Amino acid sequence: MLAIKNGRVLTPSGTFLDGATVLVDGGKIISVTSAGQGAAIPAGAEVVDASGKYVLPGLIDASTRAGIHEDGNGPIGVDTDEPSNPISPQLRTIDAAWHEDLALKDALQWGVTATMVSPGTANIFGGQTFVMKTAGRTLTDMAIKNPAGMKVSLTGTPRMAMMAAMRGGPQIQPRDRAQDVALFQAELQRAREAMERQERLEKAKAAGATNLPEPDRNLRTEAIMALLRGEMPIFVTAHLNHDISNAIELAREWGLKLVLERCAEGHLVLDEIQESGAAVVAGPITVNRRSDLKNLSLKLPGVLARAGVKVAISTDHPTIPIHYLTVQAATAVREGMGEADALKAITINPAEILGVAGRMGSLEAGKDADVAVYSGHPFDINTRVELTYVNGVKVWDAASAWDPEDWAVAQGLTQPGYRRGAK
Amino acid sequence: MADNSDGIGGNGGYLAITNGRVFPVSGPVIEKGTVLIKGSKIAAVGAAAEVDIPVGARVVDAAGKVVMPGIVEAHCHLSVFDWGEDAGIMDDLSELNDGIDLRGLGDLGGLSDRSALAGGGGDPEDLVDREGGNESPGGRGGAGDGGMGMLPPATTPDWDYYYAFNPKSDQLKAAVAGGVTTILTRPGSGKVITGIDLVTKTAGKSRKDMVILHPAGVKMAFGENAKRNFGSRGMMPSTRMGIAAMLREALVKAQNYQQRWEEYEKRKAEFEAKMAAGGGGAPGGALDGAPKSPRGGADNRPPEPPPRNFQMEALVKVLKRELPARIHAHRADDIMTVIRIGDEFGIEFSLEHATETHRILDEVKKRNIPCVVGPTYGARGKIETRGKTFATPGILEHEGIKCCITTDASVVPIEYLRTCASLAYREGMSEAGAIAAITLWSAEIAKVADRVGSLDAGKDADVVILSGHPLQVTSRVEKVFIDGREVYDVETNKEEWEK
Repeated sequence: MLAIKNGRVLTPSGTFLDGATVLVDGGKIISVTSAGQGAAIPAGAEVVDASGKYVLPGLIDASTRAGIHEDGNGPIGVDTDEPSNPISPQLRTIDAAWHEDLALKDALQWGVTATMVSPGTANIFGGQTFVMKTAGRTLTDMAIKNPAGMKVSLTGTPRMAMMAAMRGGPQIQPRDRAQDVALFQAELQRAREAMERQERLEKAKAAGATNLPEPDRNLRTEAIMALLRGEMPIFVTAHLNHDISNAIELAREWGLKLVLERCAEGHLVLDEIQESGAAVVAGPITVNRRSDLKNLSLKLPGVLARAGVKVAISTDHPTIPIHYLTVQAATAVREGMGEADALKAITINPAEILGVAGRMGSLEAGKDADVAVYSGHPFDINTRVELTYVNGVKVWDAASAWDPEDWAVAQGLTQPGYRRGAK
Repeated sequence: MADNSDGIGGNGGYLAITNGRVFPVSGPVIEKGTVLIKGSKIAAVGAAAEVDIPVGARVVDAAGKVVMPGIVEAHCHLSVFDWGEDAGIMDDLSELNDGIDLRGLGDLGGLSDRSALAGGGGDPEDLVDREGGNESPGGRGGAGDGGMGMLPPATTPDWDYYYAFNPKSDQLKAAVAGGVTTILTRPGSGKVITGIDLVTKTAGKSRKDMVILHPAGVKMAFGENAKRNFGSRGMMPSTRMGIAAMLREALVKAQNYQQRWEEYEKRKAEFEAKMAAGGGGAPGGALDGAPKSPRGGADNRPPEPPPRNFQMEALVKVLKRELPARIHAHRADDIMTVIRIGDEFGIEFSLEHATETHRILDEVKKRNIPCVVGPTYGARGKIETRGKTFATPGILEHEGIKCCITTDASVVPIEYLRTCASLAYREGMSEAGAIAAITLWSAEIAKVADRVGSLDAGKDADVVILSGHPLQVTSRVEKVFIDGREVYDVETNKEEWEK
């Protein structure tokens, strides 16, 4: 039993509840009670006094390459893209992810406790994503939802990747935007026909036909069939306005569940996004504006949220390192996004978009005890995460962590307390 | 001892190694024991008083020496790859030579490996998805692919390294001099599926005599090597997810292939039953020039067998658990991926290298996965070997996980296999465990323990005489017997300048 008492606790609506107590047991949240309700803290419970501090649910970065783009391991640690074939829906990021990636440890130190791991954008169908906690001993323990969706890239990257691969590789490649869409549709049509054959086979069997051969299994087709049946959404990375429109129209035509990612020019097709009902994983916003990002605005997440679009803010790690998720959100607030909207965009909204809100995304009874205690407001740049819990287990404690300042002081290199906001 | 130096194998004679400190491995150490050999087999092992030495037997006095079974290396690349030879001669060892199969280049990426999309009609063919044949747009396919197409270049389960094995290679002499008498040798790890392993003695008259188990497993590899080899060429796999996807795809294809054969066997049985019951006219109907139906059975023509595909045949053996997959994996995440796929397809497999198994002991233990640990001796040459430590074998032993120690020769020279065991002992493995990890346990993991790995009556007479304790680095190999023949003597195996 763990009690985090007297903190300013984030509510699912994005506001803070003062002097509240979060009770945790068996890896789950038992209750969240305000000061007035007078939570009874059971004897023997470990008590963390969060007076003057902020208590948030573990943050969720809706789409990153954490674990598959290993920090510090150079090119051999990159497992994000298979550029040999633009149609690679059978790939699964869980097979590529490294649970000891340094980025996951960084994430815990900044309160990020879950992310969806997506392939890169080099393929039109890039593979199947999965949602994982950022702490755990093996991916089998850490995976929350696998597969969680299909990565689709309607960007210039597949065309560039195929050009590069051409030097030693295949004679197939998308050459322009129209061919991207043609390849995308051809793959869906193949899967649709396979589904129809399967249905005919079932009918024939039901009608008493015998000795019918069983169809071959094909993992690519199976993955696409899951999209056609609505079993998982497509997460489409699109930047330019017409790429975003293409994603919306194709998803509608083929009956696919759609989540838009990045959306640099989302504000230029706001009506279409609004009308489609698609959620948007926006950002990262604090990036260099290469060609297709030239219209990217720091106002994008706020504009989407105000238009009623369900929006999550993301770092697209390693584009921006995963632990700077709050920096992205704070920047969006600076540019006009409501504070509550920005907080929801890194907690409950990504949980809902990824279909894991039953377990995470807010501090509510019954959810996983993924909790972090912040020294100050999460959008204050001086704030440090002091404690992080995943499934009720303490996975980060700033007080006992190796502190470069202590070391520097001990070495006589500096005086204590030079760092603002520390201890 | 000068007489009969070419051994007694085949003449039915006896050889007694007496007075030595005998490490049978399968039982406790015997002080002043006798190992009695008849022909190519061990006839008896015991204390001097328990073993009668027949009159006329050749006697080797091992007083003050140690007698142990021939050492068994369960993972190496000896004699299937000639280090130092030029590329035109050498066979595969993928860290150096990718062994990339160019046959499948038309199949890159698999856009071509889809069914013909003809629809409609009443033929049951139209109801099911079946792999396309030679007319597929990638233009690949040909003899031996069973109409299913060849797998992409990074998956070559049909490459059989029995045919690459050179029994006269100098590399085997180094093994013998190091007391290593049996090796599992195999392709490298530069592809997702590299080929078929074999187990052989390190000395013998011919390849046929030496090879004691073939096929011994299908070698597969996870992690950096295949990524590097193929990714740098713009080919699949360039990622870990690509590796997993390719292995899954190959195994699913093999399931499809297996299913076709099972359907055929069923139809054949039905047809034969019908014929036996005198039903439906003469069985020669297929000769009348009518178009052949691959289904058969529905009329008087016998069903036709599906075309054979040697790639699929090797994998079907793995799916049926007739042959283990032997899977290269270093890091804990790669091992977990192997475990997920192993669970998914219900295959039997060993973990080769198994570098970080000590970090996921429970997962390995509950599935009873044998681990071939190493090469630990030497530098950390790759990121995926950062976690390596000689403590691993001892930890696995302590947890009751079947393990053995490997040099991965020639990554670490084969003669240092005993040194590796010594270092594992130093880092916590038991004395008995460290010796078993290069003899009986490696023989068990290689599935040849019925013949080698310990000094027991009935097993092959592969015996090593050492100057001292097996785990002392200063102990040297003095004599080696394989199949009862003396194949090494430290006194007579000297270079001219040593004499």
